[in-house]
Amino acid sequence: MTSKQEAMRILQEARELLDQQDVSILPNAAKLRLLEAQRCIYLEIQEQQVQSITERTEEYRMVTEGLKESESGFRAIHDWAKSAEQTGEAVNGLLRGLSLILSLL
Amino acid sequence: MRNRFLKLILILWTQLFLLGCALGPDPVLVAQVNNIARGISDLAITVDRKYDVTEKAHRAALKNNINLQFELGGSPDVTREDLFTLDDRAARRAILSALQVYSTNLVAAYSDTTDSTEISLSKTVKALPFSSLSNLKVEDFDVTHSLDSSQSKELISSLSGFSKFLFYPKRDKKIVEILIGAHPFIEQAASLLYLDMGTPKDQSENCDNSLRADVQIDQIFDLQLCRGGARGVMKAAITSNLLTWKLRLQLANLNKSTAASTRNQIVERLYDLEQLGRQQDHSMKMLQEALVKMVLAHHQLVTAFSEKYAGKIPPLQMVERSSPDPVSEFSAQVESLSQTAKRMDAFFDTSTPENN
Repeated sequence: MTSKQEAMRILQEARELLDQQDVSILPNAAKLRLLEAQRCIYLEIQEQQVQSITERTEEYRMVTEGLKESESGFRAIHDWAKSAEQTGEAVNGLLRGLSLILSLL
Repeated sequence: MRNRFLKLILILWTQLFLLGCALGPDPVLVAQVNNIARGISDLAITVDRKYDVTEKAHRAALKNNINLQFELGGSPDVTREDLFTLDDRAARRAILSALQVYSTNLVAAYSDTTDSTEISLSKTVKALPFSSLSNLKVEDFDVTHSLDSSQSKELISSLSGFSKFLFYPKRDKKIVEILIGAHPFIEQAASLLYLDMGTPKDQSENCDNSLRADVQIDQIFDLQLCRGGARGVMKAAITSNLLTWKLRLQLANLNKSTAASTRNQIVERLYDLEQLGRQQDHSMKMLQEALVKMVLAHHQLVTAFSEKYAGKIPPLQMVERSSPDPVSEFSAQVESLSQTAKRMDAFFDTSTPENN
């Protein structure tokens, strides 16, 4: 079985051979065949190179989920801030009570 | 008796006030959090743009080949052949977005400055010291017969210290937990994106095709990558496009009636493309370095928060630091990179169809 690396080596060699072709001596139909062959080889090379990217797509999803776990921590801070604000209001009430007590002393 | 009681209350509130004053966000850490958040945001935009420009370079190479076939009287296959599937791009956008949300939340949770971010979390945090307390006025309380004016003022001020005392220690400890918990995912995200950028040529005869996110970030520069990824794709696209332009030049030379200006335009285009290829590869290499620096900067943040609020170094693998201030280095590099990348990536947007 041909390895990815070997496949890429073969494709690169094929591309270089096509690139060396002198178009000035070719009839029009051959020029068109050359361009089509170049396009096909180019697409094969790109498919091989993109494969390493697409193979990681599932892994991206797992890492994203892991990173999103931090959101529950931030949500907790948000809730504490709200709760602390309410406590502040309670302290405000306490102070007013304290003021009343002090005024009676 | 009454005076002793009042003094006791006053001492209690003053203690809480002083404690509260020491509990607010550390300005150095606020600056670091802001820097890293800005850097992550710019980096995410730049990385996303690199996938776009790679796709555009690929499309330009195909279009040039197809157009030349048409010009020679052929009828080529014009089926659109995108490099990345929608699924591939969505997965990358999701992680880049998660990184941005994470860093924005961090700013909002830790900073209490008035120019903080606009998300709801920050609005609540910004409200501290609590709005009801901050509206208190000495005149609201009739304690003049018990306390003199300065004593009354101290009593009111001490309440803001009390409010900080309730909230900040709990919050700071939680932020340390969040930072430590998120770090492995930040590192894995950086590794994946680094590997996606790839390399334009095989880095050894026995390069590794099956690399995954579990690569240690401080060892990533030593990896022997196979040709591929965005850098490999970009190089192949530019090479293919150049080749078609060289064919155009040969054909122009065969035709005696072709104007010199047309040949000049082709040569100009060849120069521009060659330069673009070199610049894009350099830019993507810098992006890979910036991804590693992002991890080092985040590690620095985890360590700084842990030392300040948890009293110990986090249970993270230590990484070798190339800089005494990885956070500033990271944000500065990303800022410079994003500006040059933005200009460079516009190349295919400004090109006319016949020039592609």
